[in-house]
Amino acid sequence: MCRFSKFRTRWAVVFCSPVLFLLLISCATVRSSKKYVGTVFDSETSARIEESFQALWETRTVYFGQERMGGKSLQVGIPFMGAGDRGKDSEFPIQITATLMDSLLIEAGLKYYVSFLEMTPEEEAEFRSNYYSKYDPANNLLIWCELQTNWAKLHLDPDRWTIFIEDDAGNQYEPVQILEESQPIRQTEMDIFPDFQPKQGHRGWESHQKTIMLCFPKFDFYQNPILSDKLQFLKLVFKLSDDQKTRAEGIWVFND
Amino acid sequence: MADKNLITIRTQAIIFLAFAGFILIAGCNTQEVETHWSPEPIKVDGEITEWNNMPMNYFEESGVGLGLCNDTENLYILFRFNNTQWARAIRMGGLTLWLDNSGKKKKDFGIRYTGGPSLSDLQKLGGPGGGFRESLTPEQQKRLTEMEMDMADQITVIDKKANQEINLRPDGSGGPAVSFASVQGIYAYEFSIPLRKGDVFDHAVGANPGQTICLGLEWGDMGDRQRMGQGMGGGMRKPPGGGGRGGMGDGPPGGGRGGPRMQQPEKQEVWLKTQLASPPEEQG
Repeated sequence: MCRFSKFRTRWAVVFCSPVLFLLLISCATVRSSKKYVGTVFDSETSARIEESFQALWETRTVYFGQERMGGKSLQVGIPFMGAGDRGKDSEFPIQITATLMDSLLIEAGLKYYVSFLEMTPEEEAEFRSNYYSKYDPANNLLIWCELQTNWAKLHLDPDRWTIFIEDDAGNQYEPVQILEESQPIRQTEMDIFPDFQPKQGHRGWESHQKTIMLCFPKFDFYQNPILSDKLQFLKLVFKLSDDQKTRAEGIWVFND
Repeated sequence: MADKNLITIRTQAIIFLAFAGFILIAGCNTQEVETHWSPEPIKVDGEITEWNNMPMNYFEESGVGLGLCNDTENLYILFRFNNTQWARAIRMGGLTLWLDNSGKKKKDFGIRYTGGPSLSDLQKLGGPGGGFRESLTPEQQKRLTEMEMDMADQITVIDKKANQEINLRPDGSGGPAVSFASVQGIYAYEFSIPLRKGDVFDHAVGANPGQTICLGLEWGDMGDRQRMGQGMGGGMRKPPGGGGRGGMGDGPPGGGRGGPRMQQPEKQEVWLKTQLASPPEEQG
C-alpha cells in the first residue's frame, strides 16, 4: 500500500511538473522592464565602439510610465537592462522612453552616421564639433527622452514635471538644461479591429509625442563622476507631486 | 488492489498525454479562413480602398488583420497591424509569406518583403535618436534623406528546394508584387502572388482557384545578419534588387562583434489554411 502511495506521489509529481511548467511558460509575461548595465561604462573603450549603434541604443533604453501602446514587454535575459516603475496602474499620463547616453553610445552614434554618410574627415570633424558644442557630453550626463501621451498634450511640457536622477546613495541631481528637440506631434491612431475602428473620416484617439534631451551634471559636488564604476543603479524620476500615482521612474542597473 | 492502481495510473497517463497533446495542438494550430473572389484585379499600391468590401480576418491574440482574395491569376493578401516595433522589424528583417500548395505547413516556398516605413519615420516613432541627426549639417541631412530613399523596398523569393534566394523589385515585374502603406498608425502590407508560373517568371503559388493551400506569415525575426550587429539600415544598403541570384548578398558595413543582444520583438508566426475562391460561374 505504502509502495503504491509512493508511486502515486511520484506519478503526481511527474504529471504535475510538466503541466505546471507549460502553464508557467504560457503565463510568463514580464511586467518589469529592468535593465542591467555592464560595468564598462563611461570610458572610451575603442574595441567596443564598433558594436551596433542600435544594439547599444536598445540596451541603454528603458520604458516607463503609462502603459505602452502596441508595444511588447521587455524581455529578461539580456545583459544590459533597465527597470521601470510604470506608475500606478494607468493613471500616469505619459509614457517615457529614456536612453542613457554614455560615452560608448555617443561614440557609436557618431561613428554610425560618419560611416553611413561616408563622411570625409572634414565633414566628420564638423559633425562631431556640432554634437559636442550642442550637448557638451564632456560636462553633461545626457539622457534622451521620448515622451508620449494619449491624454492632453500639455502633459508633454517638461516644465510641468519635476525631473531628476537619483543614484544608489540617494543623491539627487536636477537637469542643468532641457533641450526640446521636437515639438509635439499629434498622431491619430485607429484600432485594426472592426469593433473599435472609426469609420472613414472619423477620428481615432489622439496621441502626442515630444523628444527632449535631459542634460544632467556629469560630476557631483566633489567632482567625482556620477556614473562611476561603483555605481549600482541610477534612477530617472518624473513626478508631479509626492503622490505616488503621479510619479514614475526608470532604473538602469549596473553589474558585471 | 495493485491492478486497480495500475488502471488508475494508466488512466492518469492517458489524461496527461491527452492534455499535453491538446496544448501542443493548440500551440501549433492552423486557422482556416475564407478566401474571397475578386472580380477585378487588385492594384498592389498599399491603398486599402479596394479591400473595403472584402471581409477581413482579425487575429486578436497576435493583433493582426488579414484579408485574402484571388482571381484566376493572382492571390492577393492584405496584412495589417498597428505595432511600430513590428514595422521596424519588418523594415530590417522582413515579413516572410510562406506558401504551401499541398495544404501543409511547409516552408519550402516563400516571399520575404523587406521594407516599410522610412528610417526617419521610424526614428520619429521611437527609433534611435540621441541628437545625432540634429547635429548634421543641412547638406548632410539632405544626403541622409536621399540615401534612405535609395534604400528601396525589396522582395526575396525563397525557394528552399532549389536552394535559392532571388531578389526582385516589388513592382510585380518579376511576378510577385508587394507594397506598403501607413495610414493613421496602421501599417498595411499588400501582396499579389501569381497563382501559376508565367512566361517571364517562375515564382508562383502553383495552385488553381478552388485548391486548398496553407499560408504562413512570419515576422519579428531580425535574422542572423541583423542580429550580428549593424543597427538601423545597415543591412539594407544594398541597391534595390534587379533579379540578382543567390544568397542574401553583402553583410553590414562596419558590422558588430556581438556584444549585448539587441532587444527586439519576438518572432511572430501566423498560419492559415484556405481554399482559393473559384469564379462565381463555377461556384454555381
